[in-house]
Amino acid sequence: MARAYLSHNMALIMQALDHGYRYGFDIMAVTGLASGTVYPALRRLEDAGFVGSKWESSRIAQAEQRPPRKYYEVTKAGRTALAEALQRFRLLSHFEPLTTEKPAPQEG
Amino acid sequence: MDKRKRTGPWLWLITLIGVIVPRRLRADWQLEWEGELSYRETLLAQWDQLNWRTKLELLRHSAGAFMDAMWLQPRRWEDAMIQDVRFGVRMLLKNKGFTAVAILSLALGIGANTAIFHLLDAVRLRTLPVRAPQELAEVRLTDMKGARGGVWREPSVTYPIWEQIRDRQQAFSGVFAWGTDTVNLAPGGEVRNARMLYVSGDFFNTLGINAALGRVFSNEDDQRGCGAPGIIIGHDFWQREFGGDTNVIGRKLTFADHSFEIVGVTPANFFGMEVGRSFDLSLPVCAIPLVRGNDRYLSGIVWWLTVNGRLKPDWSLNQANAHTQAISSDLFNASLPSNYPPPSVNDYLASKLIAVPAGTGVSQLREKFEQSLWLLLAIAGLVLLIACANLANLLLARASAREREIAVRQALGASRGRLIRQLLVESLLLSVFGTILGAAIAQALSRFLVAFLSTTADPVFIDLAPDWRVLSFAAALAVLTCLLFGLMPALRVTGTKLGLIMKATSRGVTAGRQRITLRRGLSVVQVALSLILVTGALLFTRSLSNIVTAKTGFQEDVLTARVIFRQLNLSPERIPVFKDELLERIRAIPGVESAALTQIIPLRDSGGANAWIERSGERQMLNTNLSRVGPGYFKTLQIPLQAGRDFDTRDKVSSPPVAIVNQAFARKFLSGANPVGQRLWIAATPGTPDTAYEIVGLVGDTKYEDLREEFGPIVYYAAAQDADAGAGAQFLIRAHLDQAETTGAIKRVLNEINPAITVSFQGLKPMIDATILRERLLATLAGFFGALALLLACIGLYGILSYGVASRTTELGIRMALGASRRDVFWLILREAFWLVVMGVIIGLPLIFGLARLASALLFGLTPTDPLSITGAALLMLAVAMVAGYLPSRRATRVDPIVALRYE
Repeated sequence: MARAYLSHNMALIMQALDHGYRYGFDIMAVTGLASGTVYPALRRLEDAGFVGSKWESSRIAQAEQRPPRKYYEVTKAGRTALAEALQRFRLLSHFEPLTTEKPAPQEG
Repeated sequence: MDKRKRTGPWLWLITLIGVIVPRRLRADWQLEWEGELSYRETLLAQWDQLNWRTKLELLRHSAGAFMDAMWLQPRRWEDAMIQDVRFGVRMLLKNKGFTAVAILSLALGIGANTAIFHLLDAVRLRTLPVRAPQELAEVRLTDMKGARGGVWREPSVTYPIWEQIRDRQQAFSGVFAWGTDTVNLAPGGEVRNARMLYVSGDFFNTLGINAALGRVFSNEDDQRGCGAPGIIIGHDFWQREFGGDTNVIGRKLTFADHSFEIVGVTPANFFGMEVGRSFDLSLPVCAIPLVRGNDRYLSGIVWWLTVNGRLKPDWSLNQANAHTQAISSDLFNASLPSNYPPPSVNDYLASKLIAVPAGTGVSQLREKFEQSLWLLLAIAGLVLLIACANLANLLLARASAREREIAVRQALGASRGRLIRQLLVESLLLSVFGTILGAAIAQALSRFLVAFLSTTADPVFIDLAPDWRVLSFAAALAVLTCLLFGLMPALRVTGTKLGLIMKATSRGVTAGRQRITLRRGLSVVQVALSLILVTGALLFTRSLSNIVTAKTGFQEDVLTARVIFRQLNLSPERIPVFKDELLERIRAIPGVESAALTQIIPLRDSGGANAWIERSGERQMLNTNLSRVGPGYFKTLQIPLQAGRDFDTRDKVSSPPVAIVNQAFARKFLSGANPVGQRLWIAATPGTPDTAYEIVGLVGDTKYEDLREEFGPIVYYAAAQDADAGAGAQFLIRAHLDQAETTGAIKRVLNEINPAITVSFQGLKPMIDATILRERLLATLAGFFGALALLLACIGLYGILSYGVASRTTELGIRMALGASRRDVFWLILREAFWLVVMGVIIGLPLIFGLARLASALLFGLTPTDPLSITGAALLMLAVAMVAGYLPSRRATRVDPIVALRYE
């Protein structure tokens, strides 16, 4: 895969994804990163194969009468890279969400 | 169902930013952002937190989408491009036959062009690999009219002239002189030649060449009477003879009875000032008397040096030119040798020196082949043009097959520009693959060409590493060809009215008039261009055959042997006796039929003089060729003796001078009267006064200097009457052994006499063949290109005719249903082929007459508008058309009316 080392921001985003925050906006909320940082980072991680993406089932979106959302999750390769990154960024393992907002409902 | 119940300004912002997202990703991208924003909005509303602060927050987030969109930009171009390329490759793979023909014909065309351009670049365009070559100029004589004595090369100067230029000129920051020669490195036995470059002291420094090893010469090395100075060896020689040993400096090289210490090695890319030649050894000019054993080379009667200079920074070439002309008069007065022949003194003193650019060096190869190479480049260009016309034709055929596909794409919203780009990418792929394959072909072809131009006696050295000029030439060819054959079909097929095609049934009754007319036009152009090339091929082949079969007037199947016995240090009186002994020993070898001495080898050496026949009162001086031969020369070469006698033992240095002349001499000097018994005068040369000879024999005409010339007058002197013959002899030997046996036997004989004698052999026939290299080159390549053009024309005609048959199936079916016989249908198609060729010939003929004069200088024994060649070419084209038309015509006769009409 393209990138063996994750930058701090990337590792932070991966850590958030790993903790179950699977949408771009949730990641922004828990990491405090700007949308202009999070989205390009997600695309890059996706290109590198560390992150995979899926569309929310349209059933749910229809029920809520809004467009479906795209959610992201850490792949196997991503998990290896994240473990390596956590060795370097020790503080990241004490990851705490910034807000008290409840995490988005899990996909079935 | 309304998905966007709440539509805040953030959603509008996303739509706006979405415009710059690459189209392929846009839908997904927008949906993702809208999904997120809407969800957040819903969530905030549920939490009752949808206030102005959270709304502003949403707006801020959606503005962040801009960064995201920017990040996706690089995917835009690459994406469409890759899509085009992938699609293009798929289309090409689908039609493997078409792709192979297209790439191969392009590769041959591009390869041929690149190879010939490469050679031209090397001999004509490329500057010398020296410092600031554009500053170099050559100082040369405007003409060599006043040059008497030995002229080694033209133009050239003598050593005293060089000394005067060196001391008088002010235009150049540095001047230098150089001359080439060969030296024999073998101590005895068969000669091992090395190419010697004599240079003046400033040669390397002025050119800015540093030694790869050791040092280069300086002015101290080049002083008159320098004895045996240090020697510099060329890079190749160093690699070949010393295996690139870095301890070579200080080692000795021994030749010409002297030993020279190696002081330096030149860099690998430096070959001297002459493009197409290289050198093995380099000595200062002052060393030539030592090597040659004769100090004539430093007197004013041997013309062998070329003078170059580097312009001073503030001098232009024009100023330098004016300067050298201005100093000419004083310079020639000062350098005039005291023994110069009086009739030539005025011409000598009137000589003018000019300065001409020399950044590309000098080259005999260039003078001999440049014109031919430009002509061949033009021919190769035509071949490429034909290949392009052919491809355009094939692509048009394919385009009409894809018409519906293109129409559907247009109907679905593809823009015309997008479709043209797609089609051009396909063409570009073809030309890129063609160029890559062509580059490989070019490498092989230029190697073949260099090998073709090399002879054992005169190896050609050309640096074949492709430079930027060759690479950009090939790249330009790729783009140009792509546009030539790709653009028209692309414009054509995307320009048709949509509705017409969508409405049309897949099988019309006849094909569209307009489209087939364009394709016919292309075929006609192809035939016309091919006709030019085939005519050229026939012309050059006939020219070669004329020159090969030209009568030389003598038997060519003869061996020449050059024997040097200077090492024996014979006294001048002993030398003629020794030569006779050598000749007797050679004649005694079993199998040798005849052998003779000669100083001039026909068609290789030459010499001339002014002469007149002694008659009462008048003295009409005319020019004649000279030769000096021994008894048996005419018998060995089987030149008929028509009157008088051959030279024999009666002719000695002490006896009255005699001469034998040929018929052309009798015609020119005596209006054809019998010359035997007449007295012939030869005008003075440096060293000899006017001399009278009694003509004792008349022999048949022979070619003297050049196969292409008419028979000229020749005066033969007796070799035995040469007062200052050197310690070497040249023999002509005719034997009924094979060459290896003869040379082996001669080497054994010479070794028995004295192992220090050296000898070199050359067959007369290969020597003569080497003089018609240019004709051979032209005939071979023009023949090859002509055949290629025929093949391409054949493919092109076949293509259009089979397309015609395929698209006229219904028409043919109707014709046959209405009673047309198979014969009628057969001729219907073949007639079309016939008319295409006739039209092509009609267009091609005026072009041939227009272009013919370009080739006239390169033809021998026929005019460029030789009717036989042109008629032959036209008939050949017609034959090709019949071949190309046969299969489609046959196919037309097999059309089954029932099958053809079933779909109607």
